[in-house]
Amino acid sequence: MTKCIKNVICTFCGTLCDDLEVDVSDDGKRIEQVRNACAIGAEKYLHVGNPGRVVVPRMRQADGTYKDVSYDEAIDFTAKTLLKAKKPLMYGWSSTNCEAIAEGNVLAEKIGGVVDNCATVCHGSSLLAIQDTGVPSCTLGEVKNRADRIIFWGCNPAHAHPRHMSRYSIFPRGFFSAKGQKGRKIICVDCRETDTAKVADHFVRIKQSYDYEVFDALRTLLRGEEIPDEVGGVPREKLQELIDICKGGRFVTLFFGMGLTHTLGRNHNIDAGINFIRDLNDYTKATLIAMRGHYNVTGAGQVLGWQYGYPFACDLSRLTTARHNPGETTSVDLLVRHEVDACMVIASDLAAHFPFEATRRMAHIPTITLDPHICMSTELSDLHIPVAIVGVEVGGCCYRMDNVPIDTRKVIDAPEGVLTDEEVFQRINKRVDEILAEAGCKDAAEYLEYLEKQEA
Amino acid sequence: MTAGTPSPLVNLFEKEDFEDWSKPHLVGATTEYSSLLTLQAKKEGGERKYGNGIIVSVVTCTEIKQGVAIETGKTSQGYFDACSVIELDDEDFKTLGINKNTNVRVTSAAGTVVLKAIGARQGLYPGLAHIPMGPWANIVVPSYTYSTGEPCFCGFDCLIEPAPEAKIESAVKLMHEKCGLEYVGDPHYD
Ligand code: SF4
Repeated sequence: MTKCIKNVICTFCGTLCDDLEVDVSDDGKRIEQVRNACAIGAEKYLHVGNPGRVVVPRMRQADGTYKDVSYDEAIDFTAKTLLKAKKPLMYGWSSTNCEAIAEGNVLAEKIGGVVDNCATVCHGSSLLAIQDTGVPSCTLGEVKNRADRIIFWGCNPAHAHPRHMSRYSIFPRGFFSAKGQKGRKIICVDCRETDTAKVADHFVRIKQSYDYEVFDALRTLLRGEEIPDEVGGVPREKLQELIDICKGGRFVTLFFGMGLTHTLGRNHNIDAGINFIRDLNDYTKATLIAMRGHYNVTGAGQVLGWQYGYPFACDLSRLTTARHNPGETTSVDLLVRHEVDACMVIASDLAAHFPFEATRRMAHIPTITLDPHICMSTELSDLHIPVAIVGVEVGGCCYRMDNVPIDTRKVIDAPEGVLTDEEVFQRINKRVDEILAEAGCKDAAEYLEYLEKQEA
Repeated sequence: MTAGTPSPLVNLFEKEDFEDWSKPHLVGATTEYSSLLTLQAKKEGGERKYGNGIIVSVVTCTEIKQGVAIETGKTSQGYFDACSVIELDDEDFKTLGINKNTNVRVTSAAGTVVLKAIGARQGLYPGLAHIPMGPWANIVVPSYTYSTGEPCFCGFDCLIEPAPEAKIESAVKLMHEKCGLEYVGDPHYD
């Protein structure tokens, strides 16, 4: 017999679908079946039981092979490595719950680390633009119930957020949008004709990296001024048509993705986008939402935001003040310029998603990775600490892409003995306190001096 | 790039320009930004063909196959199949003079990697290529961030040359080799 758990929250992408049904075996240890999820979400739940799951920490030996160690040894190693480092980087956080992030920040404060989350390589520029310009936004529920004009710009939900279109943006019928897809006009702006473009009513192909110009042209048209015959590979008539469609709507929502933040212009593209939406508000209601990738990358920014005031790239190495200076305290720059001397990767895969130059640096400094599975980062680290999977084996608070917090649930038990992210951080914190007390130091800076004296 | 193996791009440009722009203080030790610019100039001049290769602008994006494979495991065959490819426009296959599913060598300012060239799954235009996000793409992604923290994941120029004999490395081996670490294999997935 299996029992069915309803309303499970899928913890893969920023859509955080909350309507999954998961069948688990009687003993609560195996997942038999997943309903309602997309291909990625289903794989997330079904592969949990695959053989080869790592259940004890693994430490790399001098010859490159791995040796299993106990959690106690792993935690001791982590605490010592972080304390010994002058400026450790703690990167990741996007695939764990907010409780663990808060606990991790306590550690970062103690050891004087730099805390940075995945936003640094995906929507960091968006956050910069939002700080500069503000953000006329709304929740996905409003989109579902009200929006009749949807623009996808530089994002591809058909691939990256598979159920986004059916749950919120294109197909659902809502209170004021009873006709569903028929009542909505979908516009897709991209340099590739993506699968999202194929379901859109209007596809506008712009030349790669001409987003800023096109936004600017749209704003100019909106004010009734003249523009050249062609901007960024798009004819003027097409842009005018876009403006007419948007102005004719009751509620416009712009979803933008990494097509804007990864190309030339970065935050300036988003700036232009926000201002376009702002201008549109003179004619109709218009909003925009960033298509956040990992399920809790928004939460990582939220926690950092309320604790230190900065959503990412927060440098706590001065122990007394938090600093945020994109281009200096951001992970890629820190690694490339060799400015960090130890690295902790939490619930993200640095090695698979950073430019190789940064990864190479990470491979040559002491690195500890917290991840439920084997990934590129674990293979280049000195220590891999396996943890329970959030949303499957442990619950916790996560933020959806529209900044709505959702409490995820546990569906099965973690393999015996495997700790959660939060527990690992609690134990590291405890160990750090012990080490500091033994050495009679009050903080990490003093401990560094103490180490120097010892060596001398 | 592993220390000691110079970027093949070094031969492409006049030496002085290259050295001037590749100063570490500007963009990091191996991100020879000038080559990007020079490639760009050549492209604007309408000369996309270079030697037996072509110059294209590359974007790296997520894909559903890659997303599923991430969950299956980054050491799985699925991940390898999903990510160790480069999508080219049909026109570019003609210019290159190769068939689909041929291995090619992709070189950017940041490094070189061998990938399988496949037809576009989502419409491109001539001169635009796509590599799914992952370790293979990252070898060629320049790390310069324009003071925002975000490297050039989209819109960097690459030289693509046919390399039918070259082998595509597995993700873990590739990373180890490029990082200058010894690859000893791992019982967990070997
Ligand atoms: S769309 Fe995202 S959150 Fe929803 S089921 Fe798919 S992967 Fe999970």
